[in-house]
Amino acid sequence: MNRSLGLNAALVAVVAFFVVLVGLPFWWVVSGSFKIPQEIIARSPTMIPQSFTLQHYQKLFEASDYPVYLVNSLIVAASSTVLTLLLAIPAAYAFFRLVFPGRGFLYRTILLAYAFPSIVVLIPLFGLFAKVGLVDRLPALVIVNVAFALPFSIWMLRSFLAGVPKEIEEAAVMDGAPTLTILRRIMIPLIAPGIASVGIYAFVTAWTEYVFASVLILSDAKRTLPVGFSGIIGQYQIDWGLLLAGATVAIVPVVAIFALIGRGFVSGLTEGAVK
Amino acid sequence: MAELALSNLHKSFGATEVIRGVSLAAQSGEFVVFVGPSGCGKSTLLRMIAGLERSDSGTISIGGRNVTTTDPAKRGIAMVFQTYALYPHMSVAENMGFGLEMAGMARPERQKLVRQAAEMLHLTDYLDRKPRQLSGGQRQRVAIGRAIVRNPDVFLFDEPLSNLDAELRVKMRLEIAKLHKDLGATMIYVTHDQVEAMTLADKIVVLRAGLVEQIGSPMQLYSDPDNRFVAGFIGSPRMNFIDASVSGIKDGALLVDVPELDLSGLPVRPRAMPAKAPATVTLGIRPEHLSEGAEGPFRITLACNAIERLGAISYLYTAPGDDATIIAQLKGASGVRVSETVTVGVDPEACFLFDDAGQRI
Repeated sequence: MNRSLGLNAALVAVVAFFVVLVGLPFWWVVSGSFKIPQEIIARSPTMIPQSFTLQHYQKLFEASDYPVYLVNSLIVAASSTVLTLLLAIPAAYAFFRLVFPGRGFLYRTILLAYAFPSIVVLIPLFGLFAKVGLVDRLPALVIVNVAFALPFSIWMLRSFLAGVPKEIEEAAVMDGAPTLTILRRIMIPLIAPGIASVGIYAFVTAWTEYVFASVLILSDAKRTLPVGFSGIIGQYQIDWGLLLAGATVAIVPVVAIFALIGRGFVSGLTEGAVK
Repeated sequence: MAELALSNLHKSFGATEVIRGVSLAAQSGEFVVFVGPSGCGKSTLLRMIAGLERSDSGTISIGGRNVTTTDPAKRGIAMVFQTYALYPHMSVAENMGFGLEMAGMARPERQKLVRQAAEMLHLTDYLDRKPRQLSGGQRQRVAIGRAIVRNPDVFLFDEPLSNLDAELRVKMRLEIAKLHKDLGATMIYVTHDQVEAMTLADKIVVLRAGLVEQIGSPMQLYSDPDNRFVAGFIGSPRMNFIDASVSGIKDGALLVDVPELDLSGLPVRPRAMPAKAPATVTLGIRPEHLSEGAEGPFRITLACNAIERLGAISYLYTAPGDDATIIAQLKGASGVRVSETVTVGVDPEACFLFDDAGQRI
């Protein structure tokens, strides 16, 4: 395709604008975490750090409960992600493939979960969890995260499944593959990009979840990052260096998961199957 | 290798009945082609044989075994899909071996069979490639290979060549014919392309609206169609149909008048002399039976309003784009030009008569 020079320049400008828009806060946070306190609060902000220090990180990991929160968050987010995928894949396949009465109704109903703001279900949920002894335990957060991630995940995976040509599944049926084998050997590899997206979605929502974590968890040793970290800020007025270092570390798992399973976002996976 | 028999099959999708009582038999080793316009139910019928669609009533038996409700994989069939339907994330060898793996065959044996099929289909060099790294023709061969390795009693082909370009289609058509000769297996082949049907089939089944219109060898259908639909469907370009009337009977032939062509007393021999000759009929004559420069008592003059020159032959159209156009096949060297007229001979022996219901007289 031939594009004129002017159009190309305009496209580059648009891309550059969004890169700056998204990248600038990141750069501010990450570079700031390595500045000495005086530079961070300097009247004229510096885009390129004039100083370098690891003192904020040292304080973060040695003098605060941050490592505990980090581990808690990792446990909650990873478990939520795995559990969401384990449940969403078979559920999506069932909604997609199995014919049963009320399928369409049920499928629409699961999205009703998003009709209620989380704050509305918070109180009854607290009561419920208190009864079964789940308050102040990490599994409570996993259950909540999975419950909220599932409807969207099922909905999304089902549309990915629908994108797989019907003939591929029929060919597998003709080849004598049982339903679960078709799911495992044929469908899951073909919807890997969808699974990757859902995995990232589930991880990020669990990683950043604040409301439930702030209410269902009572003891400091079980706090997750968003809640625990907000406590750190309040405790010692605002330590900007500590805040920026903590934010930087909090970004790392998300970036890592994008880098790791983001590879699954390869499109054109079904190319060559049909036609 | 086994014979296939369908008996009074019915299938509805909701209120629409797509297969309305189909019975037919394919001998062991026979190449049977289902042909018909789109929506005639030919693919549905094939999918019912495959077991991908359940029949509402009737029976399907393969090799004398009733398989009407048997699982697809246990029917002793293999299917080649129109869209190939290869597993995109598996190599050619894995694609071909998947069915054998599902059947519980050990790996060395599996590899041996895959290799044999690959050699037969000239795919040996591509066994480690993924489908996306292959050309359309190669993908189609992999799909065929996947069917071959399972050594089925009956092969099913669902319009396997329609995604290929014209040149490749001719080549693959010949390959499939050779494959049938080499394997000697029973093959059921669905197509809407009557050329594929004519060239490949031992037996053609013409379907329309869920019913069998006629079953016969390609030349039987061509030279002795049961009705106007089959007559129009088999043969390319299609047969000319012209309104006519019967003016009398002479020597076992109906004397036909065709006012449109200024033709009278054309003696057309009916299949069986009707008890009462109908007043109005439809005269059918193929373009290749209207010959330029032929001598004889029955000659008509056609106005040339379009001409398609194919080299060896040319097609003349009296009213291009109109269903009522008359098409005549002229010699390639014919000098006739648009807006001129040409006189062609009509051979009454090559004419067909159809009644108002479209049935052959």
